[in-house]
Amino acid sequence: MRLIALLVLCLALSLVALLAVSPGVDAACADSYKIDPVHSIVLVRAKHIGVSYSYVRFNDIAGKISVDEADPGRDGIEVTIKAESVDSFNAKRDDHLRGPDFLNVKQFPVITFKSTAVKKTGDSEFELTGDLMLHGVTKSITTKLVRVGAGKDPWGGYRTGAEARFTVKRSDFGMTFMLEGVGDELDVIVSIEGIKE
Amino acid sequence: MFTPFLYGTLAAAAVAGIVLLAARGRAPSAVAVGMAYAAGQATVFGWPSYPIADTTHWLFWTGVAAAAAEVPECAWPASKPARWIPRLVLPPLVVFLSARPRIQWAWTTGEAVAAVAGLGAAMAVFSLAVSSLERRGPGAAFPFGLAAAAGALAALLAGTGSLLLAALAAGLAAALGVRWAAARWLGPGRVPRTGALAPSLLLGALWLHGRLYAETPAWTGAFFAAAPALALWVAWRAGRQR
Repeated sequence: MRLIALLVLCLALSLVALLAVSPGVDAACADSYKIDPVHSIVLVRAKHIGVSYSYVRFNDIAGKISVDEADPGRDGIEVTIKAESVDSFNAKRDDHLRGPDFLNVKQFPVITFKSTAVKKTGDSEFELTGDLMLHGVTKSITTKLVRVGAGKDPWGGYRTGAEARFTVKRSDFGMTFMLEGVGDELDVIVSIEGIKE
Repeated sequence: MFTPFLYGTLAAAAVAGIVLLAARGRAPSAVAVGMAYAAGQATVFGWPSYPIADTTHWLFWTGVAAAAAEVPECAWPASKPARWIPRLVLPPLVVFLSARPRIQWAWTTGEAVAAVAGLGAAMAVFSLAVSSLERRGPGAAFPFGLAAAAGALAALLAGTGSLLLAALAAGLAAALGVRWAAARWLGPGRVPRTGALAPSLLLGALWLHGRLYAETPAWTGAFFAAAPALALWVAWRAGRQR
């Protein structure tokens, strides 16, 4: 009798354990990648007094990518950028960009993007929709995303990479100062590489 | 680069002139200064959004609230509550609203309480000192002094990282400059004296924004001690003459 009770208990515990470790649908199908900040970049260009383009980059990028090969609709991207890491290749201009005239980084320390929908439109092309929070204002944007590739790296890991290019108006995000000096339209390139977790 | 300065100061000066001329002694000049500052800010930075994300937009409402708060003082000049309540309530509120992102992101609770209480008290003392100078000071010299202080603040903010805040301070200087010109042209008696709360709060709040969000050094805040020192000196001289 004791043996039967012990067997039933073991069976019950095994079932509980199995249920506990069984991944959900998302986890079973989607691969999770951590953004590699060394091989990722956010590059922004804006017109300077209407005669040329000035470029800035952000040096502190973090986030996650979720890739579901079977169902791209379940793919997702979350990117967090430290606004303070803006780098215009000129220290004095960096200080100005960090101040209240533009990014106001002490009020708005992070820029974030969180995808809300992904639609496959080609072999390696997707339509990515998500919420961009910049300067404390959140707006939904849609952009084309190109998956550049995926494969093993020399250190035994597995990586994937993607790039998106889009344009936003900084005035839509409450950055309305000096629009005649620094153009309203910001052309953004986001190139990210993720390491499989 | 200079267009915001031009349009902002022109808008502020125009609104201050229209309100002062239209009121002709019937409205406190704080209404003219507060409305003029708000018009200048709307021209430079747009109308405030709702909900307010960027604390710079609180400066717009600071001008409006300070102008409104001074109307009862103009209506009942002898009333102490009308004079004291806005001067004690508004400064810590302005400091709290201006510093909210720092309270949220950077400061501990203790630092936030100390900052709001300390800076609020300092701003209240500054505002009371400016009001005292206005009551005792001679005619047009007072608005000229305030306009010069706002102009100096604009130069300071431009040199320490924010042309936006500098343009807003320039708008305040323009409004106060028009008030000074009106006092000279119409005669001091035709421009009601009440009007120290809006300029003093705006001067303090603009400097605080430069300190908290641009590169304005802390030591420049020492210049705000000039008003209380001057007020004490004027009171001491008045006492000796009696």
